[in-house]
Amino acid sequence: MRIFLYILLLPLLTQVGHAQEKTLVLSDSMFSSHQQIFLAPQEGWVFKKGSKPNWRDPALDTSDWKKMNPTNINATLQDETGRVEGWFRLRFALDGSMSEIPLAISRNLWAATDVFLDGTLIESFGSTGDSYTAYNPVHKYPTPISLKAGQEYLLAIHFVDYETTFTQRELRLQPKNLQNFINIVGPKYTEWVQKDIERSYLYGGLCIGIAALLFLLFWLLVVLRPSQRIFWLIAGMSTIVLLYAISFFYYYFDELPYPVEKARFLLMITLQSFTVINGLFILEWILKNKISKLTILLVVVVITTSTIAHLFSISWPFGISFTGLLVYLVYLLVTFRNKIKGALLAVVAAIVVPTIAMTVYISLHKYSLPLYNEYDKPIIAFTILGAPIMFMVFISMRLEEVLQNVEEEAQKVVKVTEEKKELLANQNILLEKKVNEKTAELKQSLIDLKATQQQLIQSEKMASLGELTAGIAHEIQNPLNFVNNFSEVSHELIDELEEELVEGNLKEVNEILVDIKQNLGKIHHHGQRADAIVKGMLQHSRSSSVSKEDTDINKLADEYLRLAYHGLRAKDKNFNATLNTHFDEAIVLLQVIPQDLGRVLLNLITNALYAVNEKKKTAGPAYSPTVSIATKKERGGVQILVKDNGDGIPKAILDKIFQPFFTTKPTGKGTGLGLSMSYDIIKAHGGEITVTTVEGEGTTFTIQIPKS
Amino acid sequence: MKILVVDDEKDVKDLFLQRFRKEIRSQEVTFMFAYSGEEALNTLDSLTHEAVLILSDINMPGMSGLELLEKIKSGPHKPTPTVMMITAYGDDENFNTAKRLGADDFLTKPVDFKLLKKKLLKT
Repeated sequence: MRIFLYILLLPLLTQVGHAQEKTLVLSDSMFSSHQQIFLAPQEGWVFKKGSKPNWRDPALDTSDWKKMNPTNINATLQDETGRVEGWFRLRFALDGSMSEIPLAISRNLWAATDVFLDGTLIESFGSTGDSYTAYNPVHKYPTPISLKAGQEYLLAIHFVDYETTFTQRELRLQPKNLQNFINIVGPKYTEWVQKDIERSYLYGGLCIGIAALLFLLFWLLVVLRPSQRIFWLIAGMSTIVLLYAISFFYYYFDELPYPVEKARFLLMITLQSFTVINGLFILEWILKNKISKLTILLVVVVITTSTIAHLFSISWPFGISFTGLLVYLVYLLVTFRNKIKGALLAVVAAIVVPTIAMTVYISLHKYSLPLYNEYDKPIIAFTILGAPIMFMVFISMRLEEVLQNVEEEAQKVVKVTEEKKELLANQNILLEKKVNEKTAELKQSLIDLKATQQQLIQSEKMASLGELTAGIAHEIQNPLNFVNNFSEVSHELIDELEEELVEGNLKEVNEILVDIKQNLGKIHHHGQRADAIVKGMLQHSRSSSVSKEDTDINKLADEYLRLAYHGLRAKDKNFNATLNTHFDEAIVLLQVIPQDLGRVLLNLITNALYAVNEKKKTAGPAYSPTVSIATKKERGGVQILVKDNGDGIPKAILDKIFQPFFTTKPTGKGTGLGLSMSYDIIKAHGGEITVTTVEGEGTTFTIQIPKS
Repeated sequence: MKILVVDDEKDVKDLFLQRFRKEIRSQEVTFMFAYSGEEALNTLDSLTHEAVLILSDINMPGMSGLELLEKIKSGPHKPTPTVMMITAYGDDENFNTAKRLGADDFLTKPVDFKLLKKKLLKT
């Protein structure tokens, strides 16, 4: 009923007012969300550039004023100093629907304004004076005004603004964005401001806190393992996110001067773009292990165009470049779709989540302010925290994957180790078996070798025995000669004896008997001599390990000299050599194994005789082959020298002559063991055998044997 | 006939004395003995202007029989003694050397006394 009354009254009220100014009637149906009536886009505004104090006067004649809404403010209004100054006037009234609502005036733009109601200043937003101060509209509670329904009011606004780089909020904004130049608001709006402040603190705190924690976490990872490039990338990203969170929420916590605020805004816008598309770098790095120039170019272009869009309200370059970025992202995802799984999905989410959040944020701001006003903070929280949280998820998943790998590898290693162990055990068994086989073979070889050695030693003995045989035969010949002759003579004597007995010549008989007896003694003596020679020969061929006995070295040397000489003579009847002996009668009996030492002497003498015989074959008639043997008493023992005047031993083979099987004699003539055995025998006697030789002049072997 | 036997084996003396006992008893031969070449030369020096037959072993310590032969044949003893060499080896070298040095005969051991007697009777 009351409403109806007001509607009836309205035309009347309008007619009462100035004809050139229409009266705007406000009703509660005009409230948009949060009980706001945006006055700027409404009909009825008049505008005049410049400023005069009386332009606030409700009775002023405004017939020369221009019809213009505050949403049409633009840069063409500025004077030569860049100052944009003017007055807006609006006549309005409330209908009955508004009568019960406590109203207030609010502003959400930065231009400095003085607001007058019916000529009375109700609020100065910023300072319109010469020292211009912009109004900071962030989190400001509205200014209550007292209005009565049915009454007409004149709203006069004196506004001043400057076009600077950062003036986008006023002079370069599109009309749509200038609609909250001046608003009439109800108490729900005040409630919303209250709630918005709370939400700002809540989400601001959350975003900055979480971003700071992740920042610390990621940089800790970098410190712990700087070689991981991916950690650097993620930590760098987290740094940008933290700065973005701080720059976004800072102005809710602390009111900034206008220029600083503008700088903050520019920084925030840049970081915001960066935060949203940062994941692209990381995704590309993970997929291609490099960051392409195209990506860098795209990011730079997107950030630049985003800044341009915010500063100058030119959004199409941003739209194009951002689309390009999305296309490239999709291209990456499609190209590497097989590779993207597990932890990498988190990286994709780190791009997708803030991108979607940002898209939603921008869309709401553009198409649904009520929703925007209600949800901008949680959506912004997604743009800020989406990427770093997803990277935390990525790192956690990678950690799990790595652990999984490590576990698998460890199991493989364990398996391989066990297989190796088994293999090794098998091989050990095989090896042991082989070693045993080889050892048995070696043992057998050693036994064979020892047997062969024994045989060789025996054959060497037999070889020297062969050399001896002829000598011995000659030596035996002498006693045998006596035995034969004396027995023959004795036979004759017995015949004579019988004759004398017949004649009875007893004296003769006696004489003959004495002779026979004497002869028998001689036969016995020479028999013994032959026996001794044969025994010596047997002894020579017998195997070693005969005990030492006191031995006359001179006698031994003489004996073997003759044996050797006659041995050679027996084989080669043409052989002849002068044998010299110089025996030192002062030498004492020595404890030696006579047949062993004899073998040595036989060897040396035989070699000497062989040497002179060889030389004789080539030397002229003046050469007289001579072999000398000498003994000499020495302190602590005896020295035996065997000397020849043969060709000597060439230097090249001198150090080989004592080696087993070394021989200069033609094949089959020498075993090559003679000197080697001699060396061993002398060593076994604790003595030494040395050789001095002059090529072409002869060789001397020197044996030194200690007393015991 | 005077016969000088040179041999380092001392039993040679007894052997010769017994083998030639009949000849000695009938004074057909007289034996002298030397046990080395040097001793033989000394003995020879003491027998001036006497015909001597020398029987010498070749293989002796010290002066060998061949050296002795050379010394006797080229020595001052007149008339130059007849020298018969005795050796255990019947090798050409010794035989030729002995011949070259003027040995009158060559015997090998063991001495065949029947052969020796025949040879002695011839001279």
